[in-house]
Amino acid sequence: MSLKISELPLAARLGLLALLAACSVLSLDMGGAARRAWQAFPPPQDRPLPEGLSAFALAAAMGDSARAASDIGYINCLQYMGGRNASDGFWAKTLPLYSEVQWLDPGFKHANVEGISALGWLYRRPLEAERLARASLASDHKEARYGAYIAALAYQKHLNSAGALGILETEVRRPDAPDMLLRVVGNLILQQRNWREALGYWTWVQTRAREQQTLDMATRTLTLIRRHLAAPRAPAAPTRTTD
Amino acid sequence: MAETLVIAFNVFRQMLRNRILIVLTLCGLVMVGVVGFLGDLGQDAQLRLARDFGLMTLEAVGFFTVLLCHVVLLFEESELKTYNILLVKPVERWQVLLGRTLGAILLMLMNQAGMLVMLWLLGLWRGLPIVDSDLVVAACYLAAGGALFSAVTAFFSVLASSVPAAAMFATFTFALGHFTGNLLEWTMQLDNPVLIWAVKLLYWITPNFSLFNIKENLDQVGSSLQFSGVFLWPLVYGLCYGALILFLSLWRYELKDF
Repeated sequence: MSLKISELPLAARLGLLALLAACSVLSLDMGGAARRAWQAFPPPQDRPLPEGLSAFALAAAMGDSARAASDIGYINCLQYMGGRNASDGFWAKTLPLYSEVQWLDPGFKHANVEGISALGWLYRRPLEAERLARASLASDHKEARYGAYIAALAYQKHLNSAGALGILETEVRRPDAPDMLLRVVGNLILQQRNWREALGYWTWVQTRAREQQTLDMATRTLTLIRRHLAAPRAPAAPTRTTD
Repeated sequence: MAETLVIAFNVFRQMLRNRILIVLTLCGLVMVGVVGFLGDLGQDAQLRLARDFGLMTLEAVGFFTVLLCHVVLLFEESELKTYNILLVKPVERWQVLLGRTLGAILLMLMNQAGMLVMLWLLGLWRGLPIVDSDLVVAACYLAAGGALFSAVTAFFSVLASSVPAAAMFATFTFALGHFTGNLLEWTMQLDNPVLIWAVKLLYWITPNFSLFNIKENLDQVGSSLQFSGVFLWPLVYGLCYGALILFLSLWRYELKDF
């Protein structure tokens, strides 16, 4: 079959080109509109930019690779928290790193909840944790967990561990609760010096934890708790409470 | 059309013999293997990371396969003068170009299918549901985007005067095709109509690969069948834009002197 485009009349060639171009533009616009209606979250550039946003994250978000960039950002967070960064303002970059992950993908709930737990109870910076929780809630208001965390952090700011524990105990029973939260709640129970409850909780943690770090911590803590339970009861030291 | 398919299968066979592409295929399979260990770094988020990096690797290997396939063919055509052998055969120029484009697509599909199987095996080994229907849908759309990229690279291989120029133009267009959608959204927030129209023009002219990027919303694929436009329009766009760019390529190819 002999078919040559250059042998077609010019008007036919241009007409065909115009038709294909019009169909392309139409389908592109319709597809773009359908995509905007479909996606759970608006594109990252429509959300307020977090402080200290890296050029990599911005370029990835613009280049339609926000999800992959948030995964890389999350690995960065874990590497940073696992590193020796106490001299760095006691892991001062935790908030910017987790904020970046949250900005890139508000649907990465696991990372957001983990960041809030780490800031609020591991590094004892409830104000920073609250900022992350509020940003997460603003981006994903359907996720009720962020509200619960904000409430727990409000107790934490007043050093009311029992109040925080009351809220976090329901959160920790969720199957997708991060290991970080398991450790946080375990420590809060230990602070209450309720050794029987702590024994039950950390024994449960051993069946639920996914990370080796949590399992090791459970083993160490259970030894400590058993020692406390075996020892004759000493009078409890008065603890500071605030109203 | 039969001649086009014969050329496509010959391109596919020829590329399989080519060591560069065999190395690329092996790289793809190794990268999928790395995905398994990368998941360990993410601890609790292991499944999400494995799926995301698996799809990212799939897209990267698809891109390099198509690019290298066209670059190797263009090199053989222009430097080794293999086109002269084809000229004496009873085939038309459009059949050669279409065959080349289809051959590259076939090779990309083979690579991506291999990697998908590898991911599935990895999931079985690690006890993680890495490959499910959502991921397969996302992978299919990446393949559709790769097919469009093959047409775009064919266009640049005809238009560019040298092999490196063709590779550079195609790579730049691939990158730009991921940016224009977000760039337009951002520009729309500015109060500058000239800039908005300039970016809009760029958005329409360059191939938009973001439309095929279902993987960015992977969690929503299964629960969003009512949004059929998200799945239908990219295919219509791919067909129309692919036909448009192939039409231009063929037109130029018919007039090209060798």
